[in-house]
Amino acid sequence: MAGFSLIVEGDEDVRFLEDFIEYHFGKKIDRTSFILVGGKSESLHQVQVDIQKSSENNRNVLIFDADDKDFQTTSDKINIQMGKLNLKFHSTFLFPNNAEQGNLESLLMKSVTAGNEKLFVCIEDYAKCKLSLGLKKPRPITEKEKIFIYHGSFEDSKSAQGSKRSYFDASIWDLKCQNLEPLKEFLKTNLFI
Amino acid sequence: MGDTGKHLTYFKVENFKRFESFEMKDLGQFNLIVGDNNVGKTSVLEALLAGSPSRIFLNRLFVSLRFRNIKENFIYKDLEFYLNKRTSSNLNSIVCRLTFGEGKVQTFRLDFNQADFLIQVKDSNDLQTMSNSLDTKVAINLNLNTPFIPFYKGHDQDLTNFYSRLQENRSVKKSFIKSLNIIVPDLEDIELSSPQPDSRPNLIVYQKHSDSSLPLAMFGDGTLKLFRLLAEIVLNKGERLMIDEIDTGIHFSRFKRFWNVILQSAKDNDVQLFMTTHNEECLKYFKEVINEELPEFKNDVRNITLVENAKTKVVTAHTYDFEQFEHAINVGNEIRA
Repeated sequence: MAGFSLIVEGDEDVRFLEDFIEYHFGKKIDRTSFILVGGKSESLHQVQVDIQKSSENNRNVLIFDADDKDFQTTSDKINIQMGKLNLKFHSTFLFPNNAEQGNLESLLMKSVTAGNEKLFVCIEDYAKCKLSLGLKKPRPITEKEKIFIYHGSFEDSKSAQGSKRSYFDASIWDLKCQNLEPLKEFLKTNLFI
Repeated sequence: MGDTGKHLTYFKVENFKRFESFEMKDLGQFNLIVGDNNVGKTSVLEALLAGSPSRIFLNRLFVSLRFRNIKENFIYKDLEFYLNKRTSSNLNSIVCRLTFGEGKVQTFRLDFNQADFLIQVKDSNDLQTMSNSLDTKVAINLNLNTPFIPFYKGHDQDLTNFYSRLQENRSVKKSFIKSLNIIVPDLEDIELSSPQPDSRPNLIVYQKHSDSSLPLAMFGDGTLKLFRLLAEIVLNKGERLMIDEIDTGIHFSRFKRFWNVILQSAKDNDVQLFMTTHNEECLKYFKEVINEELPEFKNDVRNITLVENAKTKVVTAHTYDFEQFEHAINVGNEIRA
């Protein structure tokens, strides 16, 4: 038993955190250490029993996206839901850095291997080109899709899908970069001390 | 949901086996009980045997002891097997508190008085207290119904007794055989047969495309399991039935049809089920059957996970409604521990 449960929004968060924790702390954590909400704070009621059950033996640590709202607004929304459902978390972290707006994808875009950022310029150009063609029902590319295209641009990258993606390839991802320090410090303090 | 007034909505037991105090809230008609090994799942089923009158409760506890193959002959003192071993006073009591859908509350109390060497049983329904000396031998009445199916129980003489009553009603018999067809598709009929004039009757099966019969006891575990489950559901009409490791003996490919038949039969007979399992596939197919074939049963479903606190060793019950249960399975959150 890990001694903690990570409450996250989706299976892409699970995949990233599994590799990040193994990389920085040498611990292979399994899927049972995660409680997947399958949505945002409005969906916490669906895992209310899972979280209460986990409280018997684990520290419950919530890791969600801050999203586009004011960081404090998202934090307050989560606290309101926690109050309604009578849930208590040991600690909370909001991607990207527990201080600003954003999400896991915006954090990942700042965590690519140095020199690869240029690829996103190409991706943006592709996105603009697509919209300029006058196609019927064009759809903008989402942040998730940009990450997917980025990861899939490299040979031997295997699956680019967020729920299956590996982050250990140092030619694609820099898990030691400065942008990931707030997350690393948070996990160190709340999971392993 | 039929006459759910007779079904439990809340259950609490004190001083029973590993439980100093244990409760389950918000019970439904179909309750799956899951949890780690040795967390007390079977003990919960045994505690749920509490029922009126007191002599029936005691008889059920002895039958359950017999299922454990501890010994053949009992004295009342043997019921101390069920006492929580942490208590040490001279007066040890097991207390069960049951709340029913109609609002009725019933309490059973088994007092083991070591000083006077007595066991006393008080039932809140009964003004009289039943009292026995602890060294009195017990005559277990195997004809009294014990609504508990241990995981290994298959063919036994009691099934013959029961079937002899069931087959008197043609439509009940027909429906019973049709339900068995999910495991034995070519099963055509079941009859009672006495091989020798003085011998006890046994159950024989006729299959399509064959003139000869086979004893039911020759069939596989899955068939015998399903036969027993269906028989005991009908036998416990309007009451509750406890089933340990309900998935044992059932091939995964049959789970969906198995669940459909069991749940429909329990609904038709207004039986409240408490079922334990470890099997992930069994849970998955249970969810699928409710979703796809029996959505009207969603409100009746509960998954109850028993969790032991690693420091205090106290076991608590965590109840999922169907939406939460379904969500956990869909996203892969572990529900069994």
